Amino acid sequence: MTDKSRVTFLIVDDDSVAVMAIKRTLRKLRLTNPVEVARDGQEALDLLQGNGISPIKKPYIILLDLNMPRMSGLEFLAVVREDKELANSVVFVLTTSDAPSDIAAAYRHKIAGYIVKENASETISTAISMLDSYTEIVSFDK
Amino acid sequence: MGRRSLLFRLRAGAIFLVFSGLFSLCGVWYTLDWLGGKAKDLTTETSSLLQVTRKIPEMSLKVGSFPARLLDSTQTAELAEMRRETQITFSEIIPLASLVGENEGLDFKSGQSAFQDLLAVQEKFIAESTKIDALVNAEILRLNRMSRAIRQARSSVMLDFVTAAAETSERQSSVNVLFEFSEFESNVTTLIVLTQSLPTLPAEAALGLRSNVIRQIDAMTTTLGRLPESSERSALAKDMNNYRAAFLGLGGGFDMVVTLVTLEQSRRALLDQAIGFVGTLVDWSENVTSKSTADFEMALVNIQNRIAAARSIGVTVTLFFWIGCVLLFWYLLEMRLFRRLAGITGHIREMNDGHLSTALRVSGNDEVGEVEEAVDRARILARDLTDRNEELHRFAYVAAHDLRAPLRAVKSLISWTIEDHGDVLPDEARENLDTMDARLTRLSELLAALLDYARAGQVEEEIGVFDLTEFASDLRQVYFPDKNFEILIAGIPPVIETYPTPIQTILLNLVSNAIKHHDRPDGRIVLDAAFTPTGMRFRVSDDGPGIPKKYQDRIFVLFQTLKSRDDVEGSGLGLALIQKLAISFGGSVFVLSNPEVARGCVFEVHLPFGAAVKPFTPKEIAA
Repeated sequence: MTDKSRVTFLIVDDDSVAVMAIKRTLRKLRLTNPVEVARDGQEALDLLQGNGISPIKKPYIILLDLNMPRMSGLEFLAVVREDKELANSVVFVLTTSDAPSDIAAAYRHKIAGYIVKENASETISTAISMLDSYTEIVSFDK
Repeated sequence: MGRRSLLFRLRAGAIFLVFSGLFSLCGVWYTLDWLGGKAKDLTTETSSLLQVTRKIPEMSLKVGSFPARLLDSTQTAELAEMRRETQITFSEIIPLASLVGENEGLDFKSGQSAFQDLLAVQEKFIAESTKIDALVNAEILRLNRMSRAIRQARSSVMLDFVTAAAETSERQSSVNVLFEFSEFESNVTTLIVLTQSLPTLPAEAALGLRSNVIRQIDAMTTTLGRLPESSERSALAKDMNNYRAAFLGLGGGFDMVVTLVTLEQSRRALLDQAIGFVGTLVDWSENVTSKSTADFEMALVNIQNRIAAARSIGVTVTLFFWIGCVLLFWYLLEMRLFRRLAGITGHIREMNDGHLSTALRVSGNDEVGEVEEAVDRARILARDLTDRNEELHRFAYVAAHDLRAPLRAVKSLISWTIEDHGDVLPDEARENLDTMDARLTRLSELLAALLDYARAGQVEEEIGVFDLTEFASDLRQVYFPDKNFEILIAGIPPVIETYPTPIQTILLNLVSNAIKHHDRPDGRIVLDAAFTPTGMRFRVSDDGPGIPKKYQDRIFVLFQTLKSRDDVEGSGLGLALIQKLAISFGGSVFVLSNPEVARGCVFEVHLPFGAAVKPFTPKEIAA
């Protein structure tokens, strides 16, 4: 449990209800990992690269929405995969878009999974329970 | 209009070519005909020339032989023959000469009359000579008789002299008589010789004999006078006188000779005239012959020149004609038609490949230009349509997607409220929240259906195999497992190669509709697939209430439902989506139902064969 709790979840989503839903699901699953929230890609980059603030400690899992202002999820992914420090980050795309073009574009950026927020709480719940097992792998990795 | 018609120009070009071909054919025909006429003229000219060149020398030779023959002839029959020949020859040569046309200085009439006069003179000459011959013969007989009479008289004198011993004087006189007789006899003999030589000598020489004859006759008269009177002497004297009369009298032998001399003179003059004519004739015939030959050669050269001219004209005309043809058709067909058609075809191919931004340059103000304009208009329309479609897709997608996010948020909030505070909420509030949740679910489904509709027809998957038998078992086991509906397959449906998802979506929606709109809790749905001559036909039949005829047009319209959404949960997009998918295959969908006659409803989907739909062949499994 101690190992697991060290993995930080970075939620990148501009929709506060979506963030609430994720947090609520994590709480329901009794995951006590630290949770950071960024409202768009740029903010998430600032958090990860420590631009003006202290960067998020590794290990972390990024839960990324695609459709956001300023810097979209796909743009964020492109920058992350170019950045040497961040290139190996574990990223799950958690979005409302089930457009095949979005899914294909996301997988081209080597994401760990693509979760469609179809039926809000249920899908998020199953998705995050899947994440739960993934956090263990990440923590072993460290 | 101001449009210049290419087709008109092509047709005009073709007509022009046909007519100029005919025209040049006429030209060739005319030239050949003209040459034929010329050759015929030459033949006519040549045949008369050949006649002239062949006959005239022959005739002039014949005419030339006339004088010599004439002089040789002594028979009147020969002369008559010659007269006939002369007439014939002249009657032949005169028309020939007039054919040649150039007979100046040649007087055939005077030539012919000279010949005829000559013949007449010769006839008279012969007649006169004959008369002389007859006279000479008669007189020589007379002279011979005289000679015999003298010899008789002398023998009787000699007998008297021998038998009678006559007186010396008598004897002397007898000797004298004998002597006289002898002299007379020698004179007669001389006269005979003279007379005989008369016809053999030329007339003028014969005339010279006259004085000899007179002298002889005088001598004989003297001798005769010396003879004693006797009967013999009288007879001899009579003969002498007769002879003299015959030769020296008026119209006698020597007058005849004089006539002969005159005839000979005129004959010589006429002969000169005739020979002169013959000379002129021979010269003329030589001239005519050489002139004819020259004319013939000139005519031949002329014809050769004309043939050469006709040939060079023909070659030039044909050459220009063909060059004109080649240039005209190269310009009209190659430059104005084929290249531009190739350009248009290439452009249409590019348009088919989706390159719609490059404009097609309009290359002329004619039919092809019109086609180019039309193609470019079609390109602009296609581009606009593509743009609009993309915009529409984007709009539908973004609208549906962006609408779902807040919807989901509200749904989440409602469910959290019920979850966290359901116990403390009044029942009414709780019910309202439940209704809100149900309506939100419906809205969400509507948006999902709208998104499906917007995306329908955008092929993004690989071609695969679709087998209705397998899909029917999926329908039974996966999609509608707990319904009281039988899902059956009629016969053994064929397997096709296609994009499976749209076909599945179509059939799934049709089966789902059949179940959803059924008026009984249980029923039977029959699926069936078959090849038609042009494509594939799917059929979904149910035993539900059917669709009244008057509504059948409306069911394919977007968001049209025949029942309240509270009675039957439906987006109103199912059939519109099916139709859109069928159309994206180039196919169609229609409904067969008549509730007034029978229950049930049949939906038929027709998909034509093509790249997206074709019969599956097991060979490709092996591959």
